[in-house]
Amino acid sequence: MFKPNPPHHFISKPQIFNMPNMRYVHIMGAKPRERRTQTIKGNINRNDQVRIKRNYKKCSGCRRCEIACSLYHEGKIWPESSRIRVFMFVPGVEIPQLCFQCEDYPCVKACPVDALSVNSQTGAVNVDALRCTDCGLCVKACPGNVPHSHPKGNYIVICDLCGGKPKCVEACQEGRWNALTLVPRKKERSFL
Amino acid sequence: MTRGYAGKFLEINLSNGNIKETKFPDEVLRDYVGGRGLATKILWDRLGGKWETVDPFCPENVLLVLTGPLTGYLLGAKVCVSGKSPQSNGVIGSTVAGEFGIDLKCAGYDGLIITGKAERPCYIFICDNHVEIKDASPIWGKKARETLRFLVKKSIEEIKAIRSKHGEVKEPSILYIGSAGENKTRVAAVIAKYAHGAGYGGYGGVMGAKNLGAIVAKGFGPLPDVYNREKVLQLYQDFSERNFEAKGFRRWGTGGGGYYFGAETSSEPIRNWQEEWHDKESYKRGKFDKFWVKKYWGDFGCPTTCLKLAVLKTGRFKGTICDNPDYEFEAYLGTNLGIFTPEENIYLSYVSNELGLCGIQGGAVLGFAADLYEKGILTKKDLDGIDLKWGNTEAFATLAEKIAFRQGIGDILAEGVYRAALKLSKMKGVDLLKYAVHEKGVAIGAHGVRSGKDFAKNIAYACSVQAGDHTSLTSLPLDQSELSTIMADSAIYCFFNTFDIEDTEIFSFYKAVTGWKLTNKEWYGEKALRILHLQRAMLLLGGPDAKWRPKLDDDNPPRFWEPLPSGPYKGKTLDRKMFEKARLKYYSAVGWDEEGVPRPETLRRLGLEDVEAKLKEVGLIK
Repeated sequence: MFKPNPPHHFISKPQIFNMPNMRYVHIMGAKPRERRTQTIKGNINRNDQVRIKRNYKKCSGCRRCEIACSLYHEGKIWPESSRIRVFMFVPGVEIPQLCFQCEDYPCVKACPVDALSVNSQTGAVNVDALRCTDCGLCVKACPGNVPHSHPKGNYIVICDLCGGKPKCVEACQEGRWNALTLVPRKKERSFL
Repeated sequence: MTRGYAGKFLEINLSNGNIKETKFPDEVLRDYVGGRGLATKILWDRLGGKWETVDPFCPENVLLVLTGPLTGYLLGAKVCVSGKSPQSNGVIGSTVAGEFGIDLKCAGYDGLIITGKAERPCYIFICDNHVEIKDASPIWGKKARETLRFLVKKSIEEIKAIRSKHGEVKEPSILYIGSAGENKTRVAAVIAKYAHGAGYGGYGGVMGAKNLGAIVAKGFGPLPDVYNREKVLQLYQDFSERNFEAKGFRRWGTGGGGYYFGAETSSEPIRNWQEEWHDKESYKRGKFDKFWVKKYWGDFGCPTTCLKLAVLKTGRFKGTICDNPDYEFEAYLGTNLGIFTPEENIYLSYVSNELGLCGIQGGAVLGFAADLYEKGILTKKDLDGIDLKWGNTEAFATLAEKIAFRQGIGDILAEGVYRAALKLSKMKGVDLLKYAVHEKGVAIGAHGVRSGKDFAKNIAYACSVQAGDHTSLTSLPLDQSELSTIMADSAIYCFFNTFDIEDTEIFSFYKAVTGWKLTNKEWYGEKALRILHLQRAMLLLGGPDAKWRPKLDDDNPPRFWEPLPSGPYKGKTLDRKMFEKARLKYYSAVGWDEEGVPRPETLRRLGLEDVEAKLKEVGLIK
């Protein structure tokens, strides 16, 4: 009965279509298709982009971020399909795990079928669910092992920042836990 | 199609290893909702005919782990553990927080029905539709922390092997028992996430008797569909926002009550209920703060997150990491043992968590033993050299371990307050029941009734079908009694997240999830009463080792009739006449006769003819 919201690849609609770079790798029956987004270039104003900062000590482990994320992306309460997942190392130590938005995008570089691309507006990684073959190379490339397979579908899910207004951060802040906060993304900043 | 329910239940027979799926017709789910309500139905159908002969620790007993339709939607994820209780010999719906219910529903099951007894220690592993009974010998006899570490590590490896998916695997949810459960004590809890326990009822012992060490569940699906998505989301947001406003409760949790209930309302158990008033500044809520490393700690979807994490960095008990004691632990593992310092209280909470003891039942039996030691009835020799003075934390910790492993005197005390009192009375030749504070075998929650200022009043425990359970209290009018708690335990949501939420709002949430209309009249006049009557009938039928007489046993423990010896309400106690009047009024309101036995016409109106026949058979209905 839960109707999904607009599918995630429509939310952050890329500004630039049909780039002349038409190279793709033909693997596992992925059909040749035009690239829909452009990989990162120098002309994007990075100061408008945001990054999700985490404060692990403040995380209560309530997993309301998982609820908000899966409701937005899947239209259901579905903790395992959430782009942000709260891991419990030991009871009491809960760690929200989500995409860190690296500067060099190793996952995008590792993708053999061009299913991953960088959203030019938000700087987040977008996954083309139709193109993704769930090969797992991006997971291996990721320094934090963050991307994970969709539990039912045959594709990878990665945080797309909900098009610039992350729902997990909203959920965390309305409860005043403030474990997740938004910070402007600047190239020269250190994030640790 | 049923909304809000996953649609199937898992039935596991540990004796022969049979695993099958069962379903319940919609009418049953509509009438009994789930959780505690459905548990009474299942137990009555399976064991009702021979209830009085079934020993709770025998393989015949059924252990139920059930979710409800609102689990995961209405705030506060919990799961109900039930079966024939080794404490009261009735049915107690004992809820425990944690993600277990969510994982179970995501795996596609509404609940587990566990029967039989395994030959060797085992645990159940559930990953979506992959269900397996595994060997639990590595965790048997281990402390809680090691059990958890072992199970999480091993289960993650197994989930990775089962599923050919990429990415990190999140840890599964685990319900487990500690040493107290493995040794079949009646004071053992079923524990989740180290700090949450389903203690009332003593189902840890039932799990131990079935040689079942733990249940591991991981589900990868979504929660079941709901009937009206927009309405659910709207109410979810509305209820959440109301809970965000409860600043005091969020900040302190129930742990803020350790001083208040003692000093203000005079209803906190002190030294085995000898007193109910204390004025120890060291127990004020701010005093616990300095040990917190985490202010908010909660479970799936909880807006309140009232739990806290405490660490002792210095002092005698350096290195203790535990949840900060909530009010019940502050009372039963603190003031009830004559302990008034936060450090010692946190340490004892840690001990009870590690051993798998229920803090309330275990704390009550420790207090009872210390009371007898003070009176000189139990000697140092009986206690194997333990100097069980009030406030001697190390002695209590040692005795707790003895209880969990059933060593020496612990073997008797492990039977719970009531049964230990009976055994010790026989041993010593004195009547010790007057020191035993229990209601039908279940130790009473830490809210006394003598001062009349707490929320538990008068007949609150005496007529409750869950006996001493402080979350299921009787009172009049009926819509403020345990009938509304039955909704919380059956549909399953957290009691603490619905303080200022009206019943009608809960019912409209229920309708939005399941699509089934529920009115006040329907619930309080029929459905809740049906569950209440089933529970009452099974409580009165009793078991082989203890039976409760209607009316005579619907009474407060003898300690509650002694006047309060100190505090602002000194000399106050309940009035016998008022008590009996209130009891009679309650009997007639729920449809029982003057003796406290359900009336045949009430049973017939609720469609419980078989209950009537059974009660007639044993001679309760003349």
